[in-house]
Amino acid sequence: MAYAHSDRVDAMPSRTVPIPVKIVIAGGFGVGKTTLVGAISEIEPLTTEAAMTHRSVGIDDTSKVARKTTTTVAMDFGRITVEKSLILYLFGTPGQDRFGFMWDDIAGGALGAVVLADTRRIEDAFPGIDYFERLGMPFVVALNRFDGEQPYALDAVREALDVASDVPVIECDARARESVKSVVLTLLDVVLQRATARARVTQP
Amino acid sequence: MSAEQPSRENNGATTVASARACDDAAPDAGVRPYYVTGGRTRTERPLGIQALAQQLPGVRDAIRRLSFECRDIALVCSQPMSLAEVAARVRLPIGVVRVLVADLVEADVLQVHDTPERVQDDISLIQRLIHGVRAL
Repeated sequence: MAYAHSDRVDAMPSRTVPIPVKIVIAGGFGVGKTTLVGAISEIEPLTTEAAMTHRSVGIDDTSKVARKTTTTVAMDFGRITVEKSLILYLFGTPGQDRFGFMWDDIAGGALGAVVLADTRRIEDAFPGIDYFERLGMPFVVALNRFDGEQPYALDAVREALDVASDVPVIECDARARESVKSVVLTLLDVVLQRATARARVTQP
Repeated sequence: MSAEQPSRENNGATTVASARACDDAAPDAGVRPYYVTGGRTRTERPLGIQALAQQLPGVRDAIRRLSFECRDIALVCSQPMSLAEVAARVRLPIGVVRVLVADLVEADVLQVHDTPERVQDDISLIQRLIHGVRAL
């Protein structure tokens, strides 16, 4: 496989390295980002640690999240080999304020983002929404159903989030592969629509 | 976009660390890797954390001569591996891995593929992604 193109005369006698693309999974601490990544990734979600001195500003607030026992130290991520030559990465943003400085590194060059939200702590979704709106990056808001608990109607949540009408607000189950697939596909549809719209403008 | 600014974690300290780490790689070279790299990467923008690194063919001898950290990184990259994966597997901070991978590219041990610029306008690539995810 490494020499798949060796029968061709290439300028570079090297192996063909696939193209990487990525999407970002944002949301508050304990909302299920790691679970969502794990539901669709072909590898166990890996964690990469931040490099340097901690900015000990934010403190994990687990008081409202009964079952979250482990702390995500930095960013974790998963991988989907879409084709041999195309790999999709999902990068979770760190759930702690003190790692906020890593967001630019995570979001740089991303196709789009999923903001995972829990209606019991909807305000945790605001930093992500603000960030991607500011970047002009396509995103969707996915409400993670915790054991079917989702006491608010989608319309009410959309109103509370105050997102633009072209931003999908959908429900999901971060544990379920099919549900996560549909979240990712919803995002990719938005990405495609935007690309198509831009192409129409530049090539009338 | 703010992401194009130099990474705040890619500071001088990691550059110095990389110089030490890769010193053994080319003991006879006239130019030390530190001066070659100087904290810069080869490209205009820093490598993305998703950028894929892979060994070039025929580098087994070269890898054997590398310093400990660089050898670890090069060996992990026998398959295409993102910088984030490399960092997780060799247990080094991503800022250090970014610099060392750039050094290893310079030393013709690794090649790197980053996300193409303006990927968000590449309609056929987005469609391939959609088909691929749907087929999972």
